[in-house]
Amino acid sequence: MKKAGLISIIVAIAICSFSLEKKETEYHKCYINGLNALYNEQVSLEEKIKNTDITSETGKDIIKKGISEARIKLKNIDLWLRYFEPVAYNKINGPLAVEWENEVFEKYEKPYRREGAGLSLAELYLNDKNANKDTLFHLIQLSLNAIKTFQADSITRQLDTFDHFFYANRLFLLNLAAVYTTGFECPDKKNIIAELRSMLVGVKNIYLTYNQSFPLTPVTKSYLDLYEKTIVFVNDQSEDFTAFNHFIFIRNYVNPLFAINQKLINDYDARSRSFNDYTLNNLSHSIFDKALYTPQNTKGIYSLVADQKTLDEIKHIGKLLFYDPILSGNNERSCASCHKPTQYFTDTTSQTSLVFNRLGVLPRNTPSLINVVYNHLLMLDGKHISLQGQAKDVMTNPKEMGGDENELLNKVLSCSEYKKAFKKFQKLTPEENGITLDHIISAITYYYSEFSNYYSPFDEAMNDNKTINDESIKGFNLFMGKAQCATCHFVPQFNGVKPPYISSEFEVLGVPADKDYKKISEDNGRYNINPAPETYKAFRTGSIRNAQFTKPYMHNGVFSSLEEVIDFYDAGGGTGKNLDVKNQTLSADSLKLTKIEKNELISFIHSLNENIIFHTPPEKLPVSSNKELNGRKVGGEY
Amino acid sequence: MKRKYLLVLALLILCLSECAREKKIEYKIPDNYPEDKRKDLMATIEKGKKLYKANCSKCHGIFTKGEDGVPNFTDQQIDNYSSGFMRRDRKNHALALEMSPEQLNDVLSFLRYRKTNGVPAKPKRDRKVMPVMTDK
Repeated sequence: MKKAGLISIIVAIAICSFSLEKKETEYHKCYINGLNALYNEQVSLEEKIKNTDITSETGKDIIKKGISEARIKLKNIDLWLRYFEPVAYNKINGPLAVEWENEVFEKYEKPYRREGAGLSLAELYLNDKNANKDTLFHLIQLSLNAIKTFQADSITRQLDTFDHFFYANRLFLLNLAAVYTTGFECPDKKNIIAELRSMLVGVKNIYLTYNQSFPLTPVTKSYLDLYEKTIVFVNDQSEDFTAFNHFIFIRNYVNPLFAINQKLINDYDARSRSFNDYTLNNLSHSIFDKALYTPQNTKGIYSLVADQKTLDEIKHIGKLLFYDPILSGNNERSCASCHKPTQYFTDTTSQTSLVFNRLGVLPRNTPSLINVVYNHLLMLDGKHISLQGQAKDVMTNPKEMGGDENELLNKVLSCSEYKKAFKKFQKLTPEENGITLDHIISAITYYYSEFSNYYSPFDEAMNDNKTINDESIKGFNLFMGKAQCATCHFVPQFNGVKPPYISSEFEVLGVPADKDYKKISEDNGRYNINPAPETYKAFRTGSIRNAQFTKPYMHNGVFSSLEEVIDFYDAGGGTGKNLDVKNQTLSADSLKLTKIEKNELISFIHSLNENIIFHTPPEKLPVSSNKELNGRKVGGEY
Repeated sequence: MKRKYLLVLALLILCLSECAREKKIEYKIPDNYPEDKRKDLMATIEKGKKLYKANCSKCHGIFTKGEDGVPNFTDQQIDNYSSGFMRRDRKNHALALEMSPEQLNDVLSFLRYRKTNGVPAKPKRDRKVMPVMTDK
């Protein structure tokens, strides 16, 4: 009897271990095959580098052809690689040799250096006059090493369940809208469309093998049908990337595919394990939904307050405070002094605002507060990680509002209206021992952030098929293509936040100190915060939404019209204007834009003017028990 | 007989009052934690404790008997929790999602430095089985 029991246990174990033996799915095989194909193509590219004279034109052509073949192999599996391990991906196809990352989930860490390698950099390097074989070989070798990362169990394990698929596909779709068609990572612009076509077919293959392996959670027929139409559309487009119709591509194809994919994420209850999905919102049904990714926290200390009536009270107090010069050291300046709510929360009347006590002017132009919530780092040098930190800095900065933390708090609480309100609000935050400056600041950030919730005619054209004029559409296609604007101003916010929308980008443009282009602006930008050769004179890319109404432009407000800004870019930035700019990230070549094209670009920028409903200023400010404070003017003196 | 009842009653009262009293919470702060930062850490923990009590204790009872009753988070569970928060997993952590990053940090600091009896919490919910989807 005992024996029989033992045997049955052994049999059971044998059956279990047999059934546990992993069966490799078609989907898994497709991944491994794709990876091997890329690996082999790069090995043969290395052979070519060894055996070719890379200084000769014919030699260069051979290498270029090898690179472009490897790129095609990469694009076939880009959907996976980019999602599974972005750091290793950067070694295969990094756009820049060095990038300083500061991702939103690591906001509290110092920015860290990431080195790129691989195909794009090898191609750029090949054009270098002093290019040598060893360096070129090394760039490809790093890429080969990175491929091994993608063979690790920790990564291939994800292929055993369906969950990652719809998230990886979402990133693919977002990149289709924002990156793949703009030439952001494709040095030879002539190959953009050819690569896109081949990539779409490669991804279709992924879809089909996925459906074979995961029949319970398939890519649906409606998705596949639309995807098929997308392929037809792209095949019908010209080879010339400057003629590609980005507007139709995104509105009719990519965005609806995105909506279906989002629905599948929810219907199938797919769970993400990747930080790529940190900010992305599963409930958003359009790329041009302002809730696409999680913006800055606007409520701050009141984050847990959910009652709308109370929130409205906080907002009301926030509005009064925004206009109240009591928040400055001399009781003459308010937030509204520089961020004029009647002028899109910026100051369109001066190049840069006055210093505290009118002792000169500040070095930087006031940025509009509209849509700042969609940046992960704030200020033009990315000094701050939260709206609340930024506001506190301005209030206590001796050059700006010149206040002292305790003094400000006492002055505000000397007004009975404020005191009563904050006593009430303090009860909402039992973890705080008393009323703090944070209670004041969070009310302000909550107030002004609501102006970032509006949409523009361009968004409505994308979201609801509303018509916009042809000139704007042409302008958008230029923006995404020939004019190369979209390689820094990414869809959908047209700021420096690119898919997967977890970090803010900085660029070195070589902005001049004045319109004569005699010298470069003295401001060192990001370098002041994170000193490194690559951050010298780099500034955070701003959004171009509402740009028609937010003049002057650039960090120092040097340009007063959109025409001047476009001329600056058209000329190839500071370097193009013969200024000595180190590490300019903008191409120094002229864009060769015609007058008509420039007007079309401006027409597109105008289509991004949001239908914002502005408020009228408060009629009067709360009365203080300190009579000296009661002469303060709504919005401040200057 | 009557005295016996009284004794039982007294014991019962003692018992109840003991239960009603808030549990004293001790913290395990590493010995090598910098002296000058201890005050800040304690302030963070104290804030976290208040936030926890107000917002989390109903289910994850530390101060009272919570509905799910799994208050002894291990370090690993706290890490999972914070990464779950980062991925904005809306199915769980609904409340933590509404917190500001600073507030969540307060709560997690409180949990991390709280002395527990070392018995790890049990994972509670299993993932629900997916229904088969069809295209409409």
